[in-house]
Amino acid sequence: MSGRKGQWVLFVIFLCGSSLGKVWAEDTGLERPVRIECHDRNLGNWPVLAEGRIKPLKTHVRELFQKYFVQQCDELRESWVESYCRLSTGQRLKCQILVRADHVSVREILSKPGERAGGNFFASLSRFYAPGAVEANLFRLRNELQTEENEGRGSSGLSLSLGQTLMAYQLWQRISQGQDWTFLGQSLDWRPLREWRDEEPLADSTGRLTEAEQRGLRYEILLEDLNPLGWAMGVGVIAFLLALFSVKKIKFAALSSVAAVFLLVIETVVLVLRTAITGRAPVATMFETVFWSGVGALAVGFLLSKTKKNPVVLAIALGFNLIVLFMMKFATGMLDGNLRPLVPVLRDNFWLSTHVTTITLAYATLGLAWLTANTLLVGMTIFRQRSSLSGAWLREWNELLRLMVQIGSLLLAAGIILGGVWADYSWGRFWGWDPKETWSLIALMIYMMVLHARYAGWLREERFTMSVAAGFLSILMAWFGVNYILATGLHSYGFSVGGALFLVTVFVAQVAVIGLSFVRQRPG
Amino acid sequence: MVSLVVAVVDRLPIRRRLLGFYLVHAGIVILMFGAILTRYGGLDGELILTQGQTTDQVRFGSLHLDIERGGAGNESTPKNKELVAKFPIPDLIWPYRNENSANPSQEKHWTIQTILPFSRAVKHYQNRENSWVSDWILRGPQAVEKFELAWPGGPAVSDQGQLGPLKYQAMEWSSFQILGGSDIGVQIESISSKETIKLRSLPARIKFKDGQQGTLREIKNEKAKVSYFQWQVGDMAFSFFPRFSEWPVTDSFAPKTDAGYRLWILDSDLAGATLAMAQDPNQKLWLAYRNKDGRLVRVKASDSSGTPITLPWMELGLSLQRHLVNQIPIFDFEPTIPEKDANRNRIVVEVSTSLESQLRRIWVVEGEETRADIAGVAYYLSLQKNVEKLPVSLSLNDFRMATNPGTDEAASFESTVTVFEKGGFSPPSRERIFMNHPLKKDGYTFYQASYFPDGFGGYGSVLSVNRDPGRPWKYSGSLILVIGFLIHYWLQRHSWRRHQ
Repeated sequence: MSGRKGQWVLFVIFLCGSSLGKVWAEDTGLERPVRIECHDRNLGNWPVLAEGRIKPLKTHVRELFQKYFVQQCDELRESWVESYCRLSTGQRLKCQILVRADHVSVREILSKPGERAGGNFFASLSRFYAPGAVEANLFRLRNELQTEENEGRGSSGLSLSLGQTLMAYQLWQRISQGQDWTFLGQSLDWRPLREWRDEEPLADSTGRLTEAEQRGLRYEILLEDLNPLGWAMGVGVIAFLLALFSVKKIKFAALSSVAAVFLLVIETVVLVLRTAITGRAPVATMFETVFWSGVGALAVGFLLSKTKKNPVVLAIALGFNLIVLFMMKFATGMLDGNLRPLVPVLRDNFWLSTHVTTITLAYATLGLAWLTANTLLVGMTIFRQRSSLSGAWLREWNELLRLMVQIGSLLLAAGIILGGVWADYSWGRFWGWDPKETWSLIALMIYMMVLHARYAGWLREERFTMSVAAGFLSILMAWFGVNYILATGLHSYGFSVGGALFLVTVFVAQVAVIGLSFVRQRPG
Repeated sequence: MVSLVVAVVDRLPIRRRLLGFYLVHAGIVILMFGAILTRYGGLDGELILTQGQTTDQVRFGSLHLDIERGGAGNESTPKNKELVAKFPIPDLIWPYRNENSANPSQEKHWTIQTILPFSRAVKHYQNRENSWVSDWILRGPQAVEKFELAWPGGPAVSDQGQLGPLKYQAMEWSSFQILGGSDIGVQIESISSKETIKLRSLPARIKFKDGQQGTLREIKNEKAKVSYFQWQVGDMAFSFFPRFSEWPVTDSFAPKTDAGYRLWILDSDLAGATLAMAQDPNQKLWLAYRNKDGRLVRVKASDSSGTPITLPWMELGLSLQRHLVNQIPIFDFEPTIPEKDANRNRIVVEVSTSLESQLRRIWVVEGEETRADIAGVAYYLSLQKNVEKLPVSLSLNDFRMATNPGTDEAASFESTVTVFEKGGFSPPSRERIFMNHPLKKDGYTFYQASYFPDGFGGYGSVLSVNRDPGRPWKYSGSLILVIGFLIHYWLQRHSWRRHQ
């Protein structure tokens, strides 16, 4: 490890020596030295105006760093807020800020002409690059991007990576020129650091905000400091493991229930805080609906496992919740957790709270059914010698599955109708064959067909389980496919990268599981 | 189908436990009925309002084709356009070809050949004498740009353009040759005789091939420091302000685009960052510009063998990528699949006319008026949206838009309108319409759909207008459906508790 780090440090020092020191002095452009104590612990709580809303500086810095930059520290360390502060005010940074460059060709463009990226294997693997020689690199990136667009490759992976690195560079330039950090002046106007007048001191301007804004700020600082989602991940893993053990050893059941309730409390805190900060129901973006589905699935699963005295259901519900938490943590290209102001049509609290919560709860319940069905299928494929027991056991599980699908499809139907009523109220048309509407209707039809076929006796227990598992693919199409694969229509609020790969993976895996069960069925 | 339904109904037992089942399916049927009512009895269009304007016209998405005749060449004014044919454009499904559709107009010489709801413009190169097309690449420290230039310019490719502060134009070789000279050149074109005459000195008597003759003179008004050109032909006089427009202007200083003449100044100035391109008799392309010290530089672009020509501004380098001789680009349209691209979603109609001896096919694009000169008569073809009159008129008093602080994104937008009901029984009322808060009047509902910049710094409002007779049926059907679900589950609850 240290060898690799040593090579990385060498590479960085090599770049340092070339142009960085000069670049900092040249590019800050501030005429007067600015007096801000960057190591002030309270600095992160100062309010800034960015992306259309007031937020704490630590949130703004976190959002930027997670998306565009990485810190490279040697012996001295500093927080992200400190780095941002020092970069904005022209002070010397303790750690180096590197700029994101995902595509290998982009890294090649950023190195000096005639020189390969990094000069060693590990540096060429790294996805971040020191922003040296900003002007020259900006020109090279823009040039390359323009050439790609001129030749019709505007949406290739290289173009996207070029665009992202270009944005990172431009952002770095903005910050170092004092254009990004905004302050609220005495005359209640927001100005960036660069345009600040000497007479007013640069300080925490929270006192100048309105009551509502101060409250929102306090809640957001609380959300940042508590980091409940981090805790949720830890508790979720523990609860899931406990629930798994409780299937075999009943003594773990009480513990797993307690852990599940604790997890629900933490997640409720997140929901409440997000509502308090934004003033609206926490279900407006893809990130929020996915989170709400996790909470809903856990709540429904918990209730079901208690009423049916079935610990496996709790394990499955915790599993669903854990999948959701992992997606929120790692699939940040697909799901963006940043709080942002909404487009005007979503700003109706009543319909947002009813339609979206209902539909997402439907997705959650059907997702629970999906996981249960898959657990059954995988279990039966693995423990095939126990298939002789499967008669009554399978029937009992099928009843539970049918219950879940029934509740889910009721919620789905109600949610679709509420969506139609909202659309009628906002735009004057109840149903417009929008991709999202159409796919959710297709999903409802599929589940109705499965239930009707089960009722009519056309589907036996195993086939029913397989159908429930397969049916969820239409829900995934309605939920994610419309936004990430089709990306059209009135519902394209949550478009982002990486979704198509996720969907294809799930689809292939599901088909494999069903295929294996099919094969297992035939000799038996 | 009917017998199946009747058989099912006849065999259905009436049982209490099936109440939920009946309610759900009854709800579905009622919902469908409401949907049918909406489809055939409803109305859905948009109302476009600008500040201070009153309108009662609803525009729909469906189109019709208008063909207007404008009289011969240079005599007509826009008021004289007469409607010659009007075709409704039906909503087509794939494969979209509409050969020899019904011709519900008196003019029998026009046929709609093809209707393409989704199309892609394909550039073809057609042979034409005395024309050329060129592709250029401009490279600089901050930009790489491509542009295409053709002579003579047409709808597909222009003969002039601008990239930032840099202007470029193509011209005839004779005009190119007099560049840099001290003579003022003037060029007058007669559309009817399709002829262009260049002059170096004025006043001059001009005679066109079709017999028109007149006098062209320059009139200078020393007090107002204005000079313009007057073309007197017969008993008509046209005034040209070539730096404003190549068309003659009316008394209210509006360009008369239906006059039969155009006039340009052959700029021997090439002031500022301007490039001139022309093709010499040996079919080589030349480039001209003024150096930093004011001297005119002429460079043969065709021979630069790949190395870019260095321009004196902004360290720009220009290189000729392609040069086609005796060809002009024209647009042809071919059908494509729908894609998220505004240009592809414009409806394109191909119209053929038998007014000339040879069958002529004309493409008409939604949103653009196409002019076709056929046998000396100017025809104007355009696709217009169908409109209907409402029983109410709306006038936009105010449009407000709130933005998210520090950004340009719309946070919310609203219109304040005054509603006048026709029939005059109720006084006009003032209403506010904004997102999620529509206005209901006379069975019509008005929603704030969108907005647009009105060109004067303000905004116009787009309201969505809707009349939905099926609404109560759809809502009650939905409610019965959901209640049916719940009742069904409630009646069925024992089957859930069976295996404990």
